[in-house]
Amino acid sequence: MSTIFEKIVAGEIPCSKVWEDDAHLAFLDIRPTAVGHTLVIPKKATDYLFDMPADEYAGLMEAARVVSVKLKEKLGCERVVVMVFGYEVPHAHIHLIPTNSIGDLPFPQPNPEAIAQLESTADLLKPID
Amino acid sequence: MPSAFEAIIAGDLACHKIYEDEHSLAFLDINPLAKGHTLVIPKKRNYYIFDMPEDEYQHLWEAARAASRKLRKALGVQRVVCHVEGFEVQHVHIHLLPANNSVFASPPVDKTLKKHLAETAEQINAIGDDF
Repeated sequence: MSTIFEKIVAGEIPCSKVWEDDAHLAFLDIRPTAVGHTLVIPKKATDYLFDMPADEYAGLMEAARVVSVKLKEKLGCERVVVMVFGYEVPHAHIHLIPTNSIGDLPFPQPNPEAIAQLESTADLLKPID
Repeated sequence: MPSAFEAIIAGDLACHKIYEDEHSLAFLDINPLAKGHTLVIPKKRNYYIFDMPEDEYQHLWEAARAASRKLRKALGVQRVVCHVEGFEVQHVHIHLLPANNSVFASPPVDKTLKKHLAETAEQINAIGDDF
Protein backbone atom coordinates (compact mmCIF):
# COMPACT_ATOMS: atom_id res chain seq x y z
CA MET A 1 0.00 0.00 0.00
CA SER A 2 1.41 3.36 -0.87
CA THR A 3 1.65 6.07 1.75
CA ILE A 4 0.52 9.64 1.34
CA PHE A 5 4.13 10.58 0.56
CA GLU A 6 4.35 8.15 -2.34
CA LYS A 7 1.13 9.63 -3.69
CA ILE A 8 2.66 13.09 -3.39
CA VAL A 9 5.81 11.92 -5.18
CA ALA A 10 3.65 10.34 -7.90
CA GLY A 11 1.69 13.58 -8.29
CA GLU A 12 -1.58 11.96 -7.23
CA ILE A 13 -1.91 14.27 -4.25
CA PRO A 14 -0.90 17.92 -4.58
CA CYS A 15 1.66 19.54 -2.33
CA SER A 16 3.19 22.96 -1.84
CA LYS A 17 6.57 22.16 -3.31
CA VAL A 18 9.58 24.03 -2.00
CA TRP A 19 12.42 22.16 -3.71
CA GLU A 20 13.04 19.04 -5.74
CA ASP A 21 15.81 17.05 -7.36
CA ASP A 22 15.95 13.60 -8.98
CA ALA A 23 15.83 11.68 -5.72
CA HIS A 24 14.24 14.09 -3.21
CA LEU A 25 11.23 16.31 -2.69
CA ALA A 26 10.64 19.10 -0.17
CA PHE A 27 7.16 20.51 0.48
CA LEU A 28 5.31 22.43 3.18
CA ASP A 29 3.91 20.37 6.04
CA ILE A 30 0.12 20.73 6.03
CA ARG A 31 0.20 20.81 9.85
CA PRO A 32 2.85 23.51 10.24
CA THR A 33 4.20 24.39 13.67
CA ALA A 34 5.82 27.51 12.17
CA VAL A 35 5.72 29.46 8.93
CA GLY A 36 7.78 27.52 6.38
CA HIS A 37 7.65 24.18 8.24
CA THR A 38 8.88 21.85 5.51
CA LEU A 39 9.23 18.10 5.02
CA VAL A 40 12.15 16.70 3.03
CA ILE A 41 11.67 13.16 1.76
CA PRO A 42 13.52 10.70 -0.45
CA LYS A 43 11.40 9.76 -3.46
CA LYS A 44 12.22 6.13 -2.79
CA ALA A 45 10.40 4.93 0.33
CA THR A 46 12.32 3.69 3.38
CA ASP A 47 10.46 3.54 6.68
CA TYR A 48 13.27 4.33 9.08
CA LEU A 49 15.84 7.05 8.41
CA PHE A 50 18.79 5.18 9.89
CA ASP A 51 18.00 2.06 7.80
CA MET A 52 18.64 3.92 4.58
CA PRO A 53 21.68 2.82 2.55
CA ALA A 54 24.64 5.10 3.30
CA ASP A 55 24.60 6.88 -0.06
CA GLU A 56 20.84 7.52 0.04
CA TYR A 57 21.09 8.72 3.63
CA ALA A 58 23.90 11.13 2.72
CA GLY A 59 21.88 12.32 -0.27
CA LEU A 60 18.86 13.05 1.91
CA MET A 61 20.97 14.96 4.41
CA GLU A 62 22.45 17.04 1.59
CA ALA A 63 18.92 17.77 0.35
CA ALA A 64 17.93 18.88 3.87
CA ARG A 65 20.86 21.25 3.90
CA VAL A 66 19.99 22.80 0.52
CA VAL A 67 16.37 23.30 1.61
CA SER A 68 17.38 24.75 4.99
CA VAL A 69 19.55 27.35 3.26
CA LYS A 70 16.61 28.35 1.09
CA LEU A 71 14.23 28.58 4.06
CA LYS A 72 16.65 30.68 6.08
CA GLU A 73 17.33 33.05 3.20
CA LYS A 74 13.73 33.49 2.06
CA LEU A 75 12.08 33.62 5.46
CA GLY A 76 14.81 35.49 7.30
CA CYS A 77 14.73 33.21 10.33
CA GLU A 78 17.63 32.81 12.72
CA ARG A 79 18.05 29.10 12.15
CA VAL A 80 16.29 26.03 10.85
CA VAL A 81 15.64 23.27 13.35
CA VAL A 82 15.75 19.62 12.31
CA MET A 83 13.46 16.90 13.66
CA VAL A 84 13.02 13.30 12.64
CA PHE A 85 10.38 11.27 14.47
CA GLY A 86 9.07 8.90 11.85
CA TYR A 87 5.89 7.74 13.49
CA GLU A 88 3.37 9.61 11.40
CA VAL A 89 4.09 8.16 7.96
CA PRO A 90 6.29 5.08 7.34
CA HIS A 91 8.41 6.90 4.79
CA ALA A 92 11.51 8.66 6.14
CA HIS A 93 11.01 12.41 6.35
CA ILE A 94 12.96 15.25 7.87
CA HIS A 95 11.07 18.14 9.45
CA LEU A 96 12.74 21.49 8.86
CA ILE A 97 11.27 24.19 11.10
CA PRO A 98 12.34 27.82 10.72
CA THR A 99 12.80 29.36 14.17
CA ASN A 100 13.98 32.55 15.79
CA SER A 101 14.35 31.56 19.42
CA ILE A 102 14.23 28.61 21.75
CA GLY A 103 10.83 29.97 22.77
CA ASP A 104 9.53 28.66 19.45
CA LEU A 105 10.35 25.19 20.69
CA PRO A 106 9.81 22.46 21.52
CA PHE A 107 7.12 20.71 19.62
CA PRO A 108 4.30 23.25 19.52
CA GLN A 109 0.90 22.45 18.13
CA PRO A 110 0.05 23.35 14.53
CA ASN A 111 0.04 27.11 14.25
CA PRO A 112 -3.25 28.55 12.84
CA GLU A 113 -1.44 31.59 11.46
CA ALA A 114 1.03 29.40 9.61
CA ILE A 115 -1.82 27.26 8.28
CA ALA A 116 -3.57 30.41 7.02
CA GLN A 117 -0.34 31.44 5.30
CA LEU A 118 0.40 28.08 3.66
CA GLU A 119 -0.37 29.30 0.16
CA SER A 120 1.50 32.58 0.37
CA THR A 121 4.44 30.79 2.00
CA ALA A 122 4.39 28.20 -0.78
CA ASP A 123 4.43 30.98 -3.36
CA LEU A 124 7.36 32.60 -1.65
CA LEU A 125 9.28 29.33 -1.61
CA LYS A 126 8.24 28.07 -5.04
CA PRO A 127 11.11 26.68 -7.15
CA ILE A 128 12.20 29.34 -9.63
CA ASP A 129 12.83 27.14 -12.69
CA MET B 1 34.69 31.43 24.79
CA PRO B 2 34.95 27.65 24.81
CA SER B 3 31.71 25.76 25.35
CA ALA B 4 31.23 22.79 27.67
CA PHE B 5 31.58 20.63 24.59
CA GLU B 6 35.12 21.88 23.90
CA ALA B 7 36.04 20.92 27.44
CA ILE B 8 34.53 17.46 26.89
CA ILE B 9 36.44 16.98 23.62
CA ALA B 10 39.67 18.11 25.30
CA GLY B 11 39.05 15.63 28.11
CA ASP B 12 38.86 18.41 30.71
CA LEU B 13 35.25 17.58 31.46
CA ALA B 14 34.05 14.01 31.91
CA CYS B 15 31.29 12.51 29.78
CA HIS B 16 29.56 9.17 29.35
CA LYS B 17 30.95 8.36 25.93
CA ILE B 18 29.02 5.92 23.76
CA TYR B 19 30.66 6.43 20.36
CA GLU B 20 33.69 8.16 18.90
CA ASP B 21 35.42 8.35 15.56
CA GLU B 22 38.00 10.63 13.98
CA HIS B 23 35.59 13.53 13.49
CA SER B 24 32.80 13.06 16.00
CA LEU B 25 31.95 12.20 19.57
CA ALA B 26 28.69 10.86 21.05
CA PHE B 27 27.89 10.92 24.75
CA LEU B 28 24.87 10.80 27.05
CA ASP B 29 23.02 14.06 27.60
CA ILE B 30 23.28 14.95 31.29
CA ASN B 31 19.63 16.07 31.19
CA PRO B 32 18.09 12.99 29.61
CA LEU B 33 14.58 13.11 28.20
CA ALA B 34 14.72 9.35 27.65
CA LYS B 35 17.03 6.50 28.58
CA GLY B 36 20.06 6.65 26.30
CA HIS B 37 19.42 10.28 25.26
CA THR B 38 22.63 11.03 23.40
CA LEU B 39 24.35 14.05 21.90
CA VAL B 40 26.46 13.66 18.77
CA ILE B 41 28.92 16.49 18.19
CA PRO B 42 31.66 17.32 15.69
CA LYS B 43 35.10 17.62 17.27
CA LYS B 44 35.65 20.78 15.28
CA ARG B 45 33.40 23.55 16.49
CA ASN B 46 30.65 25.04 14.41
CA TYR B 47 27.70 27.11 15.58
CA TYR B 48 25.06 26.05 13.12
CA ILE B 49 24.72 22.63 11.53
CA PHE B 50 23.84 23.96 8.08
CA ASP B 51 26.90 26.22 8.06
CA MET B 52 29.25 23.26 8.39
CA PRO B 53 31.48 22.43 5.39
CA GLU B 54 29.92 19.62 3.38
CA ASP B 55 32.38 16.91 4.40
CA GLU B 56 32.13 17.79 8.10
CA TYR B 57 28.34 17.89 7.84
CA GLN B 58 28.28 14.42 6.29
CA HIS B 59 30.77 13.01 8.81
CA LEU B 60 28.51 14.22 11.61
CA TRP B 61 25.37 12.62 10.17
CA GLU B 62 27.28 9.40 9.55
CA ALA B 63 28.31 9.40 13.23
CA ALA B 64 24.67 10.01 14.20
CA ARG B 65 23.67 7.02 12.16
CA ALA B 66 26.34 4.81 13.76
CA ALA B 67 25.40 5.97 17.26
CA SER B 68 21.70 5.45 16.55
CA ARG B 69 22.37 1.87 15.47
CA LYS B 70 24.30 1.22 18.63
CA LEU B 71 21.56 2.74 20.81
CA ARG B 72 18.81 0.81 19.08
CA LYS B 73 20.63 -2.47 19.41
CA ALA B 74 21.93 -1.99 22.94
CA LEU B 75 18.67 -0.68 24.38
CA GLY B 76 16.31 -2.78 22.26
CA VAL B 77 14.16 0.19 21.28
CA GLN B 78 11.90 0.41 18.28
CA ARG B 79 13.73 3.38 16.77
CA VAL B 80 15.86 6.39 17.54
CA VAL B 81 14.38 9.80 16.86
CA CYS B 82 16.52 12.86 16.41
CA HIS B 83 16.39 16.61 16.56
CA VAL B 84 18.80 19.48 16.15
CA GLU B 85 17.86 22.77 17.77
CA GLY B 86 21.13 24.40 18.63
CA PHE B 87 19.91 27.02 21.05
CA GLU B 88 21.44 25.61 24.22
CA VAL B 89 25.17 25.28 23.51
CA GLN B 90 27.04 27.19 20.81
CA HIS B 91 28.49 24.05 19.28
CA VAL B 92 26.53 21.90 16.81
CA HIS B 93 24.92 18.86 18.41
CA ILE B 94 22.42 16.25 17.27
CA HIS B 95 20.06 14.87 19.92
CA LEU B 96 19.32 11.16 19.57
CA LEU B 97 16.40 9.82 21.59
CA PRO B 98 15.70 6.09 21.82
CA ALA B 99 11.92 5.67 21.58
CA ASN B 100 9.26 3.00 21.62
CA ASN B 101 6.14 4.96 20.91
CA SER B 102 4.86 8.01 19.19
CA VAL B 103 4.49 10.05 22.35
CA PHE B 104 7.15 12.67 22.01
CA ALA B 105 5.62 15.89 23.20
CA SER B 106 8.40 17.66 25.02
CA PRO B 107 8.98 15.29 27.93
CA PRO B 108 10.62 16.78 31.02
CA VAL B 109 14.10 15.80 32.13
CA ASP B 110 13.92 12.39 33.79
CA LYS B 111 15.61 12.87 37.16
CA THR B 112 15.88 9.14 37.85
CA LEU B 113 17.66 8.54 34.57
CA LYS B 114 19.94 11.47 35.34
CA LYS B 115 21.16 9.64 38.44
CA HIS B 116 21.94 6.47 36.48
CA LEU B 117 23.89 7.82 33.52
CA ALA B 118 26.95 5.69 34.24
CA GLU B 119 24.92 2.46 34.25
CA THR B 120 23.19 3.43 31.03
CA ALA B 121 26.53 4.14 29.34
CA GLU B 122 27.84 0.81 30.59
CA GLN B 123 24.81 -1.00 29.17
CA ILE B 124 25.19 0.68 25.78
CA ASN B 125 28.93 0.10 25.58
CA ALA B 126 28.56 -3.55 26.58
CA ILE B 127 27.73 -4.45 22.98
CA GLY B 128 31.22 -3.39 21.89
CA ASP B 129 31.74 -2.70 18.18
CA ASP B 130 28.98 -4.99 16.92
CA PHE B 131 26.29 -2.55 15.79
